[in-house]
Amino acid sequence: MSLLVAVSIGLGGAIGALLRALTGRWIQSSFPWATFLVNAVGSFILAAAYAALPMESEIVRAFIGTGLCGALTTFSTFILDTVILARSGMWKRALLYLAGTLVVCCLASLAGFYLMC
Amino acid sequence: MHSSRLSMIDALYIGLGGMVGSLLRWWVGMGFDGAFPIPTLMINVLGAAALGVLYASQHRLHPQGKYLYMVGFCGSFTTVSLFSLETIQLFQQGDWLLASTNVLVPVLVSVVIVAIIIKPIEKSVERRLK
Repeated sequence: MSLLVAVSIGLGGAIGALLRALTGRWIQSSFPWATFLVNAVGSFILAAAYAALPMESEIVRAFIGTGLCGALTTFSTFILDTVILARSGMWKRALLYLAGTLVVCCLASLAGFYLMC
Repeated sequence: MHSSRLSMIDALYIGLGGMVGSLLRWWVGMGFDGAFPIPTLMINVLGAAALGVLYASQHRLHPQGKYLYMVGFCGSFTTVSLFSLETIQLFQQGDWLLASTNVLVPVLVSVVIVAIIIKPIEKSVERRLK
């Protein structure tokens, strides 16, 4: 059981990371829109899956939640991009990106949760 | 900016990094059952700091290192989806103080660490390249 969970997380994580990288190739912009988008979408899906899937479906939860959504969204790139924006003198953009991501992702989680519960 | 496509090898490195990063995140959080989601906080701060170091010294990485370590591993080890879900759960429990702490502490600590880390490493890399 635990091995199957690990395989699901590994597979979901690989797919999530690839989807994030592909989104970055798809949306190329000086503002980190791609990371913003994957973080919002991943937050929505994780909360929806958390509310909709029963606790017993451990493997599906591991694949979608810990694997796919966990790897699709990224905190490290979010912080690095914020610092890069601030270092290039775009303080307003950096603050907007920081606050915008936090607010939108929490709202996306709320929306996903209440849509499915 | 021209759109360059990911090669098959790049994709393999991203997938491998994503797999290892996700499994490590799962392992760190395994069995945790507390009121405040410390594992996610630690994972995000550690991963953000690691990405800062890698970013500043990325000239020294092998060509696909960016995909394996930065996009794949650090990108997948850290997570926003769980971070925001745990935050709204704290809000739903009416614990505004813990919810705000869960947002502000990792964000501020990571921004400060990354901003501080980048500078000296970039300088030492520049020195070495001269």
